[in-house]
Amino acid sequence: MIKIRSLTKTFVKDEARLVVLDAIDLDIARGDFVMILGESGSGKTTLLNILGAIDTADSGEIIVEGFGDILSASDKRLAEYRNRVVGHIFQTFNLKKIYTAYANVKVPLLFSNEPVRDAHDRIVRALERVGLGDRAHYRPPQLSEGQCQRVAIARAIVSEPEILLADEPTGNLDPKTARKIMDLLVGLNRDDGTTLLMVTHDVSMLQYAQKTVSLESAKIVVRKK
Amino acid sequence: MLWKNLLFISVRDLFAKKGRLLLTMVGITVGVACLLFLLSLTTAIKKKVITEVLGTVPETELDVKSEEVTLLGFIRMPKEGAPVLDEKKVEEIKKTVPGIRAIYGTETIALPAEIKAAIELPESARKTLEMFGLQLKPFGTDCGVSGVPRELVADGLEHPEDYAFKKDNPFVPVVISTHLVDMYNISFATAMKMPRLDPKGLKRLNFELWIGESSMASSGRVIGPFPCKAVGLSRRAPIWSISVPPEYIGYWKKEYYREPKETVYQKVAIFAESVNLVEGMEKKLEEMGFEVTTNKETISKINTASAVINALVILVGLIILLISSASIINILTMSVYEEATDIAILRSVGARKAHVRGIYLLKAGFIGLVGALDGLLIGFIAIQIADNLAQKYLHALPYRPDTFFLPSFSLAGACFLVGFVFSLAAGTIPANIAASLNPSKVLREG
Repeated sequence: MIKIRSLTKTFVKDEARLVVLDAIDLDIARGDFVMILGESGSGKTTLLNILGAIDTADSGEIIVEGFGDILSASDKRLAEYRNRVVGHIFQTFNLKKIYTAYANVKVPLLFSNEPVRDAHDRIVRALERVGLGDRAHYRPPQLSEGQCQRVAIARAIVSEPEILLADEPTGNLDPKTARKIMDLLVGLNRDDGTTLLMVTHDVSMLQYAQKTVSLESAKIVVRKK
Repeated sequence: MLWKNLLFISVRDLFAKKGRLLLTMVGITVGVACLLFLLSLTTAIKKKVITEVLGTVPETELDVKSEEVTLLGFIRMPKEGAPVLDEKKVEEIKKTVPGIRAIYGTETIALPAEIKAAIELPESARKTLEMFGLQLKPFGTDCGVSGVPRELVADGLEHPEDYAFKKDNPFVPVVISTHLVDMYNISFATAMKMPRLDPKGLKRLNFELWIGESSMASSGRVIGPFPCKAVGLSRRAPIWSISVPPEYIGYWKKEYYREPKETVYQKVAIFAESVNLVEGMEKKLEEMGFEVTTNKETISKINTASAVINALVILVGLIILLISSASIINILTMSVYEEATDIAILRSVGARKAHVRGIYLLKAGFIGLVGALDGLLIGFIAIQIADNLAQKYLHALPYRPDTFFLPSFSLAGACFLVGFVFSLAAGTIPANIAASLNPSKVLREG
């Protein structure tokens, strides 16, 4: 599904060059659940952001099945990719407080190039999928942290993407809630066949993944199946 | 439709902070209201001056006088050696200057004169005064006497046929200057707390004319009284004279001097066949040694003055709008940085830079649209209030216009457009800042 070849990313900070990803190669099959491990600053989030086309790379190629090389795609094509191929889930949920759960989930559909005829049905389905069908008109301040994260997941899946990119989705949650979220993500991967890449520094999450990738010194060091 | 979606996002964001929205709009509202208010005022004033004060004098008219010199800054006297506007000279002008459609001379008697009007009292009031041995004296004033052709004072004649020389006419038809009445009312009547002259009442005024003597001077011989009746008020009539049909001047001069006297015009009004000929005729007349004024120059000066005043008014309005634009830039840019994470999320779900730019331009456009509409509303209300107050407290103002403000749909439209464009232009800076945000950097830094 995703083929990463010689991916390199460098940051310049205070005139110092920092190589975050150094000629990374990685293959991810359709339906894989891949856990990306590493210490803080090891490049995990950067890798996820590049895969999600919200950051660029210095060199290399990322071939996504059915889309092509996202590193050489136009701005318009990348917008389509972010809208329909990938869904993002963030650690801090990043929901709009003034919107209801329903309106938050609707946001990706507002930027679809084609009219979404069954938009309402999709939103309702996504909310029900995450167990919040009865909370559609609640605003984030009225929801618990776990519920907020579920709304964020609903937003990520409303466009029915092929790939989900989760950046420490349980980082701000208590262990019990974290388990529930993980069960939800595992369910999406298993039942819908969605390819899931998840960043974490919590080794207890490893049990959920089929494949584990570690980033150390800008290199992919360990691959486990 | 994508723009509908962007509008949905923009408007929801704006209304999430209503206080800030109101604050941002205030500048545009005030700027547009000021522009509409002030431009309506200057439009009304210009219209009053041009159409009512000068409107009676067509653009094809040239006023010709013998050259004069000014003594002590205010006394004007014929220049020595300057050509005299007698009948012979007028014929010469007719032959020499091409393009003349009509020519009318105004002759003023060079003698002191006085008019006296008897004030008619009710019978009971008269008898009361008689009981105390009192008598009301006729009201009199010095004046000039000018023979003015009917064509020049036609604007003030209800029945033009009344203004004609008829030997058997019991009254001399007289036209009085409207400017004189205005000046009397606002200066003398106000200062001396005398009753104001009512133009309608003046039209029925009867008085007697004496020629040869006045309260200020005496020529040694007096003719009169000549019963006169005011038949009209004209803006074209000479201010310090009563205007009579020109034939009366010749008749009175003959009666005073006991012999015919040649006609000498103080001023000749020449009407050109077309406006295009006026400039050439003016040049020719000046070469002949005359002083020439045209309405075109006066209108041009008024237009220039009006344009300068309008420019100043517009400048004031634009300065207000510029300041409010700076406020919009400031507030919207602040919003961009506050909403940076939201912007990054929008980018992550498929929004392009153009969409993000569009959201902030729509915000600025909405602020401009509503702010400018509010400005028009407030402007119209302010105009109504100010006009009512002005009509009530400035009724004694000379040349008072019927309405002090002249707003129009085109003026309102222009003011609205200016306010809207300023707001939209101000929005481009925060819009570009929002579009250029790096979503991964924003999300990384939180």
